[in-house]
Amino acid sequence: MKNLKLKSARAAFDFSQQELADKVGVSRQTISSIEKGDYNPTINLCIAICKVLGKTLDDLFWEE
Amino acid sequence: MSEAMKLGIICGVLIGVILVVILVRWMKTDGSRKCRYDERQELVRGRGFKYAFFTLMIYNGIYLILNLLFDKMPADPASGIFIGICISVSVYAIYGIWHDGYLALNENPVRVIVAFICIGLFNVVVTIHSFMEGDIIVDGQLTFHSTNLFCAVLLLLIAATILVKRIKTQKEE
Repeated sequence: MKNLKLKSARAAFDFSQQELADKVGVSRQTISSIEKGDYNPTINLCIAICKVLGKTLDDLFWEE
Repeated sequence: MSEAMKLGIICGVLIGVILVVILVRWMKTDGSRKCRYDERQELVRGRGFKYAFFTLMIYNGIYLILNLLFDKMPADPASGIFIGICISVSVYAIYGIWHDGYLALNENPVRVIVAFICIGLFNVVVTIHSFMEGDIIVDGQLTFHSTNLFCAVLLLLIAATILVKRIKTQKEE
């Protein structure tokens, strides 16, 4: 399932996929895969993304 | 094999190792020796290793059966083993490249392509020289001199795959 919450949170900061990837120390393709729902990140990466985007785990990764 | 030939092989391997050490640093964006991969890339690399391992197992199985069935193989043991290594490495590399797990976070793709093409072409030159000398096929059997040919094919294939994947990714963006 696509992670549109992550995509919109990233867009709110005006970050490109590459910028977010650099900030959390992963490749651009990894961010792209998470947004497309092709890859389930570990909790460590989820926390790192949340910290950069100022969101909670529920905000970005909880499916309702 | 003559002593001079053995010495030549040892010197060739040593020069190869030194070149690889230099190139490994040159291909990095941060000048370090170590490759950095993220968690998704580690996963892709793990799958790639698995596929490469089974490829090599299947190849060795076929090689073993053919060796038992036929008195004379089309390739001597050195080239036979090397062909298997090249096939399994290409499986690992192509899977990794296609799933964005082959190149490390701190690697410059352009430099990797350039390095692979240069080493590949060097191997092509060595192969042509061996061919002119008539060393590649002796008594209807591929000799260890053919390893340069397989090495060239492997390196140029990896470089071409990285290039195609980059073009594909750029088009998608």
